[in-house]
Amino acid sequence: MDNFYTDLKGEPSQGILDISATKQYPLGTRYAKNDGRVFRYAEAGAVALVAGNLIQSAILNGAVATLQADMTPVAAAAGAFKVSVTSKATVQPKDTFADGWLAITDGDAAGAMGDLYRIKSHPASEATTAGWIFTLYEPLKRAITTSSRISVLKPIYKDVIQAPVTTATGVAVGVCPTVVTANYYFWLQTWGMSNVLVKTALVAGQNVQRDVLAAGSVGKAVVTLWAENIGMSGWVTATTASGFVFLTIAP
Amino acid sequence: MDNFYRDLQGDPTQGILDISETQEYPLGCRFKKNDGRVFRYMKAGGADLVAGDLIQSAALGGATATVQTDLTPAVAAAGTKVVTAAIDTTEQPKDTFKDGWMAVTAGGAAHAMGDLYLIKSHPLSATNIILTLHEALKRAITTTSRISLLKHIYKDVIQAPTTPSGVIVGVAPTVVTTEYYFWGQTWGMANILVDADLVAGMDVRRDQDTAGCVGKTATTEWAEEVGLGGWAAVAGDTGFVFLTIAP
Repeated sequence: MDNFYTDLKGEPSQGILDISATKQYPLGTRYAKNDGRVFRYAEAGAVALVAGNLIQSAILNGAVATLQADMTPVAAAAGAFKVSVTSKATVQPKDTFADGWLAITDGDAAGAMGDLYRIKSHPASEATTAGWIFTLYEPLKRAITTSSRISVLKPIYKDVIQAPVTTATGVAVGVCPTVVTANYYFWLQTWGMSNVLVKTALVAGQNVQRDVLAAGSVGKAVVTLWAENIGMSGWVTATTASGFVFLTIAP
Repeated sequence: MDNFYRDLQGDPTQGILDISETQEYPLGCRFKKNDGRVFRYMKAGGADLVAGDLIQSAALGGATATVQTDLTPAVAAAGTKVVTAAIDTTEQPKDTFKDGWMAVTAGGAAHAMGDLYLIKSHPLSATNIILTLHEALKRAITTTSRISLLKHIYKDVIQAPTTPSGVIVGVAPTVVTTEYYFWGQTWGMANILVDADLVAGMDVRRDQDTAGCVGKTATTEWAEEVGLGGWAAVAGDTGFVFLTIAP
């Protein structure tokens, strides 16, 4: 099954509060319920998820020990579908980044900095070894040089995790509407009325932001000043309870 | 008429600057005009609305005197569609929360905290409120659980007050009579009351210095973002704002 985003027509056979060990829809499939809520089909990571928790994407590049970022590529001509890089130390299983993203993040304009492509497939990597080849869905529009630098990213709805405490490591993607077993598939809420864990109490009339004072929570504190806005608060909520938040992550 | 959201196909018979005493569409019905503006069908609350004013939802719980939050429920098993809870002191008329929300907001994970359900109906409630839900409980509720109730966010909307008491839902594009139905604008180019001067390149936020207005001051630092300001606007007048409340 591919993971191209589509809008689900009709009602899903896997309900919004159901979870599944097998994948029923492409990751990222959008389901707009007729009560104003919007969901994306997502896969939980290696840890179970808690109902009402704020959820973030997998860690950038999919490896904690050594991020797969700022990799040096072999020169590749415009029109090529394959990009070969020198991997980082942490070995990556085959297709860890399939349907994810490859970005040229350095090398200036002459090295195609700013370009972005979707990854179709790749073999397993070896630690710090040249010749790790990514196959893309679309050909390079501009040539890549050895001055270019490459970063890769998993699909944002794959292996999602509880928004961690203290240090955010991915982008906030939604709220978990029910308890989800590790590695199961579920409908992640991304828009509309939700019931979310609150760490720092909210009052009406505020933006609601990721709160790194507690895992999986939102709030409004000094530490959230620069944090991601994830919704709007129309109501007073208690600390460490959950409360109504109008989510505005992805319509 | 139900209030399930849907996209309106074609042009509405009730135009975007028309108001109606009777409900013509489900509350929340979305109309995307071909000039980039998007509207939701709403019902005004107990006071007239002013053209160009920022509009918010009804206050949490549907009662000003005693909000219906942190209610203690009776035990309800997974699979049931009926939840009973002791209400706060203010009596709630029949179906005040119809098509609104019931959230389990406290009690911990063992008591379904974090769950959210759409309310189908309830009778007049003097001491207990008996809620019938559209969908069955996924997890059991216990007497340790705590329940909060919320009206449909497009029902009984009001001018955004100087002390916020609901979530911003849109802008009134015309004068709206009390309890009439109208198209509230939620996205695209709008003409909104400005309290604190705006300049180009700024977020536009709810401004609590004046009812119904937006602005950009120290008091708005934490306030809800409602749009983008690409143009200078004078305090006390209305001005162009690109709304980004709901696409």
